[in-house]
Amino acid sequence: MFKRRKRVELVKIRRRTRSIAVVMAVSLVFAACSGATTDDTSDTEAPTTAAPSTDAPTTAAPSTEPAPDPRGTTLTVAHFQEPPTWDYLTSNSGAIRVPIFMNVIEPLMEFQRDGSNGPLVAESWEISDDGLVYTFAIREGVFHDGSTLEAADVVYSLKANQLSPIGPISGPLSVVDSIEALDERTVQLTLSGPSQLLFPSLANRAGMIVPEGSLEANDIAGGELIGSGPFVFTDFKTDVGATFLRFEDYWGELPYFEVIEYRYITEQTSELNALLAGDIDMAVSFAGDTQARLPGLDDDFTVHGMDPKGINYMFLSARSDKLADLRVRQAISHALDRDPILTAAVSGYGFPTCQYIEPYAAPFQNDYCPYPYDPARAMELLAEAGASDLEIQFVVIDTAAHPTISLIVADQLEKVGITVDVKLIDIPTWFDQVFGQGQYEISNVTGGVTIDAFACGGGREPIGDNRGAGDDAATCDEEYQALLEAVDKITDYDEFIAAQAELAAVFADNAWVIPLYSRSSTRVARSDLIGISPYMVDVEFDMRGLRWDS
Amino acid sequence: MQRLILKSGLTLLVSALFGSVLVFALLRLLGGDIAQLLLGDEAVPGAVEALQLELGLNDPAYLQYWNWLSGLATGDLGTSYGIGYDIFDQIRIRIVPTVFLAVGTMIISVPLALILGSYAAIHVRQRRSVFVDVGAQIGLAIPAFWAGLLLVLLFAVKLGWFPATGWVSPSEDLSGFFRAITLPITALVLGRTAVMTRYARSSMIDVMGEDYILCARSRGRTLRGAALRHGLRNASIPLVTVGILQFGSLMVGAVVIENVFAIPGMGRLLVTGVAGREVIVVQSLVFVFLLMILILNFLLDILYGILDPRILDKPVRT
Repeated sequence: MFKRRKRVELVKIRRRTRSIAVVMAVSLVFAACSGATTDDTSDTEAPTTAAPSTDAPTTAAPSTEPAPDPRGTTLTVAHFQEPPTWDYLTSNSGAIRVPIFMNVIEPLMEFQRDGSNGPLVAESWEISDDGLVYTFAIREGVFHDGSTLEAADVVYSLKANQLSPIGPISGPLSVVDSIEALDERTVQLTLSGPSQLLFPSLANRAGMIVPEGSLEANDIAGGELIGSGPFVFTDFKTDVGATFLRFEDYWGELPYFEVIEYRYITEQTSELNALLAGDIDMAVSFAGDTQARLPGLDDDFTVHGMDPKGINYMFLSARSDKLADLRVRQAISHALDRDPILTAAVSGYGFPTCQYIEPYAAPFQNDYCPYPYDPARAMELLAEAGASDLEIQFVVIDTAAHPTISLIVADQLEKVGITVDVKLIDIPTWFDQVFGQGQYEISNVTGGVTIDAFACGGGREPIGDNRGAGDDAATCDEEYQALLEAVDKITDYDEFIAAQAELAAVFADNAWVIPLYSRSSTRVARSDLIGISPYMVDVEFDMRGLRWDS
Repeated sequence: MQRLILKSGLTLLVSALFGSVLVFALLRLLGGDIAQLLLGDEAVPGAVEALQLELGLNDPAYLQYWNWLSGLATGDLGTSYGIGYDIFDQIRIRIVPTVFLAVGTMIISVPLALILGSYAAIHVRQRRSVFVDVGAQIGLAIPAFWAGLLLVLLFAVKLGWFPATGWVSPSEDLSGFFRAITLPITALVLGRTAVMTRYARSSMIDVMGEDYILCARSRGRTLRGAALRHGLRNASIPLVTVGILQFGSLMVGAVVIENVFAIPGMGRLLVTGVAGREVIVVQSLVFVFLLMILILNFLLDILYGILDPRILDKPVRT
């Protein structure tokens, strides 16, 4: 009996001890968690990411700093789009260029707000009077791998760019016959003929400079990118993000932030929530309907409306007999009311446009609108063309603003008597079906290329000879092509601008491509973060001037 | 028992093989390829075809299937087309957050469901059981992603107690790990608990009508005492099935929550893979999911054999 009572007491004690242990463990977890919740000084901590495998020192704080800012020198930003590869020479993904361009890999020159080119990798340059010889003086600098920046690197890079399968990279360089290093600091380009396109392109993707041999020696696709820019790209993890470390040996002024944590948050609602919760300091880009929430943000955050970049346009298949008659294409254009499309698709961020002119700041931008919204005229034209009972297939990407656009466009076209069969498909299937096989009648996309990309033999429908169309000459507009080639060879600038305006007008008159709006994306950041640059050549995210507001 | 293991194991193998063919074939029907996607709409003529050839996308289907299957068997699935990461390594890394999410959810959901279900069953004809029933209905009706967004708005944006997104490995920072995983698990727990509570309640009500409960009560046990002492264990048995199936669906279905909370798990890899037409990544992931479900079912068969020896006595059909 005594033994039994003792055993019961022992069990009770053991249970009590266990309970105490559980309570202690839970308390410890809570203590740890609460410790973490009050840890709002993480920005001030030293960067926790591993240093890149380069010889150059990258993380040391400059000794000239008077007093450390309590907000620290680490910035956390998020972007909703992750690139499928980092190989900028074999992929057209904008998600590569957003963080890499200018920050990690610098182009030969830097595009300026006034439309001119400024120095970057090249300190200065000379162009011969006949426009056939370009001579560049290369600055003294160091790449992230410790190697010195020399003329040989520029020659190597431009030759590699010439071989890129991406049109905007190799295309402008196709007029370059030879690229030579005259000495360690001088590079000369000899052209087969004058080209207006080449010079601005060297401040863009066609001019990106990397160390000689680095494209073969490194896993570029996996993110081993080496340039001469102010940030070193490191620690990339798929679906997580990457780290940009300040390059202390940069030739120019050092950026304020020592570390920029770049995170991928694919859901834009989650991206905005992360910003509001303080997980990130800045959302690099918002597009589409999430922008509707932005006007309601409080003063702690600033919405930076970026310059319009990228034009949303309808494009019509040249292989469809139904669309061969210009009057039918004009009717489609007259049927489209751009304002409600802009409001519904991108919450009004941008402006409606009838012309495909990119960038919007181009000097030949004008208000020319050959076929404005006029449903009555659209019906007349359809009747004249004998196409009053027109039925067309509208192949649309099933993400972003495209489904919304398809609904409004279909509704507007049906109001003038066109029956629209909307087919929503995902992006890879869309690429295959539309660009690969040409199986569509009308489609819609947002693009950031210039009208040069629609040249015959390029990959664009319908003006260009599409891959799926083979040698079908009907898809190539000879008049447009002849004009395009002539424009590029004009050496006089004013004459060039006038010819560009004419080219854009011919393009709009054809109505194969019907622009709807020029899209403006937005950046949202903490209000005390300043130095957010506008887009210059692309949708790049220039990290160089970012700093806390003092 | 040996016969049962053999039979279930054989079923698993045949199903896995059939599943691999199905997964492979379905992905070929998806349309689009990574060459087109990588190069985009600004590729020079012929570039897409050249890349397709380089990546082996034009190889005969049987060769592609064989290469993939042998890769699965040897643990060498090659590298992804785009970024070039090792696919097997990536799956190995990505399975960790997903397993944490699924296991964490089950650890909370199962006991909670048992408690709530039993409570509702014991008080079945009383008003207080209605609260559990209504709560379970609401839990069932709320999608996990929506619950996740609401939780984020309250606990991350308004109160700032937890991060809105992200993943922290427990080996790097334990408290950070708990903070990061709390909201995603809570979002998942709501729905899973609701499902299992209803099962537990129904099972407990059945058990409470059994003779041995009547017997226990006639020996002087209270209703609650009889339920806890004799009912709970028996009522748990159907929950094993539901629990295991729920675990499987959690592993597969965590994709939505992983996207909402930007957790780099298997689901997110799957979404990225599908969007990027990384066919080997996608078919390997889908096969891993399939294999997990098959293995869980296999374990369930064995567990049934242990729990209910009558199953072992049944003759095996050949």
